[in-house]
Amino acid sequence: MYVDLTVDFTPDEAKGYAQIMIIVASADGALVKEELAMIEGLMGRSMMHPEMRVDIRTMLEKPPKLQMVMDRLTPVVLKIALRDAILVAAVDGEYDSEEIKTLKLIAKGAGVKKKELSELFEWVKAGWEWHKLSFEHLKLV
Amino acid sequence: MLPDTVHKLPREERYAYARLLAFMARVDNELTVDEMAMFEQRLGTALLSPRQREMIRSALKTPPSLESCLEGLGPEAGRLALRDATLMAAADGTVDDDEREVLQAIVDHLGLADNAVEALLNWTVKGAMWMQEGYDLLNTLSE
Repeated sequence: MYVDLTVDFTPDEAKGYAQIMIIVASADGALVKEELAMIEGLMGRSMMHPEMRVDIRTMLEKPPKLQMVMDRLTPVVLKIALRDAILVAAVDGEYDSEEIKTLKLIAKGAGVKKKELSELFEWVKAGWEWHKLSFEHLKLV
Repeated sequence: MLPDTVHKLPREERYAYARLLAFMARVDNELTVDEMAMFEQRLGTALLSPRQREMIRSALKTPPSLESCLEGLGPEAGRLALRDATLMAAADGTVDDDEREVLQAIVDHLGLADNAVEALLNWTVKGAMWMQEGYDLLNTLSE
């Protein structure tokens, strides 16, 4: 049920995918702990090799250029990266203008239309609502 | 996968949280790819150190006892561990009797309502539906 499409990535695709997460997380100039936790979770979910995760962490200080990363990735990988990049951008509670700008560039690279991008944003919002319910079930709010 | 509070817990409790998930992963004596992906995701979200992760991965081979896992959990960590243990139990698509029994034991330990397991399992199903909607959406995006 929770095996994601990212599990099937080649090592280079997995690396590019994780790099995009880092680029989006640092787009607003500050990488917060929530974003870091999200990226680590996504790398875990894709079952990325621990050594590759170490490589990715070293890029947190100086993220690679978006276009260079996107050039290596297929539209399919870019779409999956776009979906998860929106989750990363949303994790600190709001979308920064630089994050939105970056997400739009990824959408363009993936061939995703404006309306479709809005649908992805709506999907993320629905996920937030679902996740918040768990805190209510657990009486943590 | 979504914004969470696990990473805000004290380090020792995050470790205890991960040990409980390792225990849960082995309850039915098999570790599927789905469970492993969920387990790795939660380890990542907990922001454990690489050394702690190694120790937790070895706990998969020799799972700790449930009692020892529960000992290190405070009220919030325990509840989050219960929620994520439910996700782990459901990760392969079915929750067997042994897994349900463990979830109920955690609920009893935490002093939660009797219907807590059922409520969390229903919540998990809704999450699976949400994930599926994401896949469906990806499939309909333009080429």
